Amino acid sequence: MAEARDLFSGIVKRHQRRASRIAYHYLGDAAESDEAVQDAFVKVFTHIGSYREELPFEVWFTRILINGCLDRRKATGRRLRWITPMGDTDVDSRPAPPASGGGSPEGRLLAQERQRAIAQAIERLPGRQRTVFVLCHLNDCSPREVSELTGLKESTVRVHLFRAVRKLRKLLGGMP
Amino acid sequence: MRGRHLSEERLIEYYLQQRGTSAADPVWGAVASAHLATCEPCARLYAETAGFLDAVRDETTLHDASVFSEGRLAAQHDRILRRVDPEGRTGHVLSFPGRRMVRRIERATGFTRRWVAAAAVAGLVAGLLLGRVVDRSFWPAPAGLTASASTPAASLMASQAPAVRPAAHAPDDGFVSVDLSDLDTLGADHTVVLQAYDALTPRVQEEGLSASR
Repeated sequence: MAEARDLFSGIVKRHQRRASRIAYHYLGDAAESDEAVQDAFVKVFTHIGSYREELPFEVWFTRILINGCLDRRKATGRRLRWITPMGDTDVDSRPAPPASGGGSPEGRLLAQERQRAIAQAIERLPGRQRTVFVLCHLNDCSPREVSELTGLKESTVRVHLFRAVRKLRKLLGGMP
Repeated sequence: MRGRHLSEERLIEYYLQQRGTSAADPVWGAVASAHLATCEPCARLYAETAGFLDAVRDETTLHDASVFSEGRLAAQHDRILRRVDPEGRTGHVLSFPGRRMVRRIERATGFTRRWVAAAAVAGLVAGLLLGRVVDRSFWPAPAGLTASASTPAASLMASQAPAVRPAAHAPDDGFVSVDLSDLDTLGADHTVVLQAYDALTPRVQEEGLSASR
C-alpha cells in the first residue's frame, strides 16, 4: 500500500501542473480548478483497475479531467441561472496574479494587462475551439492526441485550431 | 499551397510541426521550409503568426505559473494524497441499531402485536353482543306482542278498545289524535264488562254540547 502511495505521489507530481493549467482554462477559477484536479486524481486512483494500457496514461487522465471540468461548468451554469449577478463574474473579475514580466512597476502592470487580455480572449472562444487551442497550443498535445481526448476527428481538430488562432488574432488585434 | 503562397492554415501547421507537436508529412515540411526561405511575403506572414502564437503561449505560461505557484501545487499534492489515503482502506458498513437490538425490538413488537390483536377481537365481540342487548331494550316491541303477553282482561280490553291510529299527518311531538266518533261505537257495543264504566262516564259529546250552550 505504501509503495502504491509513493508511485501515485510521483504520478501526481508529474502531471499536476499541466492538469491545473487545463482545468484553469476550462473553469476560469483557480480554486475550482484545484478541486477539479484533486477529483480527477482521486478518480484515477480509485478506478485504476479500469485503465487499459493501449491508451497512454496521459490521455486517459486528461479525459477524466476534462469530463470533470465540463460537469463543473454545467453545474456552475445551472447555479448561476438562479443567482442575480452582483457584478462582473467573467474573466475580468479574476484576481490579477502577480505578473512576473518586467522588473519595473510599469512593466509588471503592462504584463498583467496583456495576460488578462489574453485570458479574456481565450475565454471568449467557442467551447470546442477553446478546448482544442488550450490542449494543442498551451499543453503541447498533438492534433492526434487532442482527437483521442475529445473524440473529434483529427481533421476537425485542425480546423478548430485554425479558427481559434484566427479569432484570437482578431480579438487581440494581431499582437498581444 | 494557395497559388504560389502558403495559406494561413498551412503556416499554422508548419508552426506546429516546427514545435514538434504535429506529425505532419516531413516531406511537405521540407517543401514549406524551402518555400519560406525564398518567398518574402510568406516568410513575413509566418514570422507574424509564429510571433503571435509564441507571445500568447509565453504570456499564458507566465500567467498560469503565477497562479499555480510551487507552494500551491505542493498543498494540492498533499490534499490529493490525504484524500486517497482513506480510499485505500476497505470500507465496512456499520449495522445500526445493531443485530441484538433489532432482535429485541422484533421480540417486543411481536408480543405487543399479539396482545393488541386479541384485545381488538374481544372488543369487537363484546361490542356486537352489547349492541344486540341495547337494541332489544331500547326499541318498544310491537303492540300486538305486548297485549298477548298481558292478562286475559287486558287483552280483552285491548281488543275492544277504540281504534287508536295515528293521524294522517302526525305532529312531531308524538301525540296521537283520537277519533271521537269511535267512542259512540264503543258505547253502542254494550259490552258487559264495560257497562258499569260506561254509566259512570259522562258522554263527551253531551258535555261538549252543554259547554257550547
